[in-house]
Amino acid sequence: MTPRERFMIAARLQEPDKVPVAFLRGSYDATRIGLHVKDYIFDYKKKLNAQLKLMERFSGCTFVPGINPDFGIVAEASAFGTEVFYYEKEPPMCTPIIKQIEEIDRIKVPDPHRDGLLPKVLEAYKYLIDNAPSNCEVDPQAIRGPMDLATELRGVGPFLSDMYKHPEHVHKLMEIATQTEIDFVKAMDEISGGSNIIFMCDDIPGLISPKFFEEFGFPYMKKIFQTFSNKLKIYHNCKNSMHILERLANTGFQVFNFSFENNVAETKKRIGKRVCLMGNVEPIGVFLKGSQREIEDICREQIKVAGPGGGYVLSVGGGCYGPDQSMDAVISAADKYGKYPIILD
Amino acid sequence: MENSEKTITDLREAFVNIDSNLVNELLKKALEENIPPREIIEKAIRQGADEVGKKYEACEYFLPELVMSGEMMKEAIELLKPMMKADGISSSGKIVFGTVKGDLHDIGKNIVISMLTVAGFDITDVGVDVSSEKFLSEIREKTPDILCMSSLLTHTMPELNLVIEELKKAGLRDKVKIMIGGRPVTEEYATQIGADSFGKDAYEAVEKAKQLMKKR
Repeated sequence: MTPRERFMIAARLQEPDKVPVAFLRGSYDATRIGLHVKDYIFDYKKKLNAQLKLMERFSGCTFVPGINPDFGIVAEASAFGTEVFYYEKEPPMCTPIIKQIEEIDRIKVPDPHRDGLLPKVLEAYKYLIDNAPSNCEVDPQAIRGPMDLATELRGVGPFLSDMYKHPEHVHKLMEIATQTEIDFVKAMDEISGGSNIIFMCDDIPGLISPKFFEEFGFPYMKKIFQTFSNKLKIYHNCKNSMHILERLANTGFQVFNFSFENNVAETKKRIGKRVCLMGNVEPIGVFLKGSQREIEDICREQIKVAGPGGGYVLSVGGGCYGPDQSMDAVISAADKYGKYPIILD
Repeated sequence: MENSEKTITDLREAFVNIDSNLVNELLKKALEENIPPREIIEKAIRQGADEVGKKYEACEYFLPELVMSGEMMKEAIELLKPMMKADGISSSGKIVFGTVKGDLHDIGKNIVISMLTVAGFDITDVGVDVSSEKFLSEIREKTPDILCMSSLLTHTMPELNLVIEELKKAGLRDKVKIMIGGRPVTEEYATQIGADSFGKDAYEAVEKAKQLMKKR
């Protein structure tokens, strides 16, 4: 059984042979081998080689997404004209373009075939599909959730206070962000013939009240997931989401890459029968800085709590920027402690 | 209850209930009733900020509420500033605050700035993606009591150390107290790089800033 097959079984809320291990993919593919991130983003051959290298080194786990265009978190925002900043060792970032609330009345849903970096994403996707080894899954790039995109365009602080001061404009911006993501996924599907996976990252729901999430977040996330109801839907949120767990699950994803700030036992208890849980090793104090022994011990505890019954993937509850030995430690923990049936005292 | 007491109580509740229209109305009323700025700040704004903080800790309030209450309170303080000087209220201290080079995050910084403003500090916000040269230039020009730096990314944390080293080389390290913060930053890291203090959130940052001022 391949790690990806194992992941898919867990995603269906079943017990594979052992707990699967999965890591988010990101600019770590580049930094790990000393590539400038900008180089990695725009040189598709280097990108493919970097992603394959990571997979070769860590054959005991899967990566989510798999081989993919990976233009970072700014692709959709760039289509609205945001300025993109590239760094040597970090993912690219962008600055907000909507300075005055009235500007929301003038922005339009971009064309993924024409605007910003999106055509480049599509070009890279085609390159990867044409050139990746036949035994490698090529996935679409992870998309921003609608709240995440809205805050990239408006700025986090202004967007959050807009919920109080300009709710109608928040809805308008959310509608535009939602349609942007739907059109982007459809454009990627045109390239691939239709992927079976969609991976959405959106931390912003974790920052707001249940009431504001119901009004400003839930309908839009749900619309995206409902539009692609035939795909496996994976959702990443590395902020504490204990206050909106059930509401999040109601949006329709099947796999939840949840935050290290979530209580894993309670998360499993409340939504573990409905969604596959993926997480939630702490990314900095443990994954980045911890010893292999510390990491294995923490993974053991997580497997003990979340593993029984299946529907669990061992991962980091946040960005995966750690040394090779940290990734080895997580994989080793799943090998040692994650065989089903799980019996750990 | 006397009129002025009721106005102060209502104003504090309006801040806590995130009612910006009512805050503006009651601020105007408070000034018309000649309530001293010191009383408005202490009993309506600062106590209101404490209550908002407690609601945030209790997970009744979230980031939008912190952002809104911070904005309203900061605006109120700015409105009262000219009267504060006339009333003999002095600044709690001068702070230069920025997010380090390579980092564009500002939400945490802005909330901390709001709370520090409420606590009576004068803040120069130098923005995001701030180079060490810019920080040094601001310190030379503004002669702050405290330099606050924020880093939200692990990859930009070394910039915190770089600024401190540049301050030493320029002979400015002893002229300013340094407080750092941000998601990946820890007390341990602050000690390691020779910062004077670490604030894990806005409320702790205010307390730590006050403590640093006692050491000036």
